[in-house]
Amino acid sequence: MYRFNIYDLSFILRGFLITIGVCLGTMVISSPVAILIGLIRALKSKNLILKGLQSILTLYIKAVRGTPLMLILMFLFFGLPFVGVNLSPISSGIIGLSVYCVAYLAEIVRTGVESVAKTQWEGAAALGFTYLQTMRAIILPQAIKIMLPPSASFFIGLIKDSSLCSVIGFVELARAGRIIVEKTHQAFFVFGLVALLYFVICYPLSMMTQKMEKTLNA
Amino acid sequence: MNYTLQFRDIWRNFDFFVEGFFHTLWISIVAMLIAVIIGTMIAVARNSKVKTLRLLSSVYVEAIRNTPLLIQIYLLYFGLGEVGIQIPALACGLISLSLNTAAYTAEILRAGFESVSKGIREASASLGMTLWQTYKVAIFPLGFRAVLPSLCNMTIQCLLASSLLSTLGINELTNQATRIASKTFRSFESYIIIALFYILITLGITSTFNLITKRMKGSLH
Amino acid sequence: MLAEILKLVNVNKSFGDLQVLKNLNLSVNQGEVVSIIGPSGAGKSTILRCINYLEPINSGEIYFENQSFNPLKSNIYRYRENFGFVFQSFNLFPHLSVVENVTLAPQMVAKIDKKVAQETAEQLLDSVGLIDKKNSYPKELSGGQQQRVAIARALAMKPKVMLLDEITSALDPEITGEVLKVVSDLAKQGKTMILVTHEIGFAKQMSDRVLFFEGGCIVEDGTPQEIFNNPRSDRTKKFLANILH
Repeated sequence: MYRFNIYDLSFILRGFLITIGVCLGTMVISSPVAILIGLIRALKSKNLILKGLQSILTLYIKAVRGTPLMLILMFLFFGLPFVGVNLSPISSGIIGLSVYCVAYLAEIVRTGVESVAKTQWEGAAALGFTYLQTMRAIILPQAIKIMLPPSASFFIGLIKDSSLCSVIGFVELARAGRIIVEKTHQAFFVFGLVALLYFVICYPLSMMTQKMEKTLNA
Repeated sequence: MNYTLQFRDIWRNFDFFVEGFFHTLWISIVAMLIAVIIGTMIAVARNSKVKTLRLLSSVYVEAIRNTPLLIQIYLLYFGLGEVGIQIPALACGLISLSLNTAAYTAEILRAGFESVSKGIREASASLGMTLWQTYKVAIFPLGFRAVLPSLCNMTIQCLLASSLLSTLGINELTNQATRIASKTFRSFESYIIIALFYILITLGITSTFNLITKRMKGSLH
Repeated sequence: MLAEILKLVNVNKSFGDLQVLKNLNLSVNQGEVVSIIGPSGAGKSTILRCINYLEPINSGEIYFENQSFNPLKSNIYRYRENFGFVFQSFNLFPHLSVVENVTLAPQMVAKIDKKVAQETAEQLLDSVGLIDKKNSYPKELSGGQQQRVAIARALAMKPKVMLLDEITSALDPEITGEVLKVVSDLAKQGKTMILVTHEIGFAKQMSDRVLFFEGGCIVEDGTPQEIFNNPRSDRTKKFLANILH
């Protein structure tokens, strides 16, 4: 019987690093887009073009948040080839995660901005600030504080959700585990190890997020 | 790329969609119900005076919340297979989904229970009620009402998570999407319809919770 | 000859490093109305909360009807049924109607039949003047009305001693009257009551005894006449001088 050896371990650790790298990368790519979309949606304006844009963006966000990530990934990898677009597992994974990430982060940005107390707007207006000045100097700094904990939570969720990419063949941590299990048939041990590796990233991060929430809410 | 949307082939294979819709719906509902029951027990255990209960429930919650559902499914399905226990894929998937959702639900419920004011608990105690009676008359009813929105979100999360059961070959919606696409070569249409089904169920969940909220909150704020 | 119903002997209670009750000795006879006055935060409420064991005591004895209460041996829930506790913040169950609030404990704890509990509840709500609100919910009532329901709820368990913890402190001054009237009716009926209160006028009028509590001890214990008109201790004098301005 094939025994689990050091090469298998290094294969899994490689998957571990790929998972972290891909998630960080996705957050980095998605953040600017998400901030843009979130702010656009948070703007209050009577401009028809803007409103039209807001509606389209809202549609996009509601659509992505209302469908499973699995479906999106399946579509990108299995569905697109039917129309002649062939994406590699890695491309499908990154595009799928990014689309997912942008939708959720944009929502966090929007609710962050909107949850800054109405009284702040009123106070600024009384002092003669314009809409944009208020946004820049008063609302956004406070909004960023509000946005941090849910963003951190989302990142932790993203690490876990990246495991779905394994289903389309992208060799991150979960897929690496699956491959090794098929070789060694030691499911408990290998998947246990994989679970432990996910735990080792997620648990400390979630403890930090809780602390962050406490200090920011004080 | 020459592609025009045609839904005719989809219509012919509508029974696939119905099958998927059905599976997704009942799996999500059953998993959520089990999750609420187990979640309540865990939430109570977390606040118990018995140290072992507190420890065990905390370990359970943290272990589940910090590892992916997919790995939990694999561990259960392949892990048990290794030991020789063969559980059918559906049962395996349902158990994994329920246990996973239960951990998150437990945290939501725990926050809800803790939000019930000390004054109310003391009123119950002063009237001679035991801890369990206090839970029954005050902490559970008021705790649940307090977190209904979060429970609604959790149910939607459970719905979306049910898509992972496709990896075990179960014919829920996500699996059907790929099957129909392979059969009809109409991938855009398949996936769009499936997405719409999910959104439809999401709307159903939200409406149900709004109804429950109206009925319950009528007596509160 | 009045029977002694409650006795506290050398009771000590601390919260962490802070000792709130220092060798407290207190005796209450059946039918007596005892008011406890003193500076805020001194621990007056703690006395009441130790009596019905909402808070455990660190040392000392509590005698109820001449029997020592030992939390390890006696059933703490049965013990609590002897006391009717009314809170400063009412603490009505918001998800239950007024009448449900009052019938809940008798049915669930005292295992009284539903119809009997319902009748008792309606009688009590009538006696506090709220029978027409029996199907309303707490959020629909004013503070004074809620407090009267809270009193009815406590009375529904037919307690032997009523413990009233600053029950008018959270009410608007104009509304305290309706609650105080209910309490004075109870006093006239011969109910044993221990009140922690800031309502000096009420304490003067209604009490058989007044206790001045400060610094963890009962500084003075006497009739309203003695305490308010002829206080012996300087600390009592100082307190009264401060509040009667």
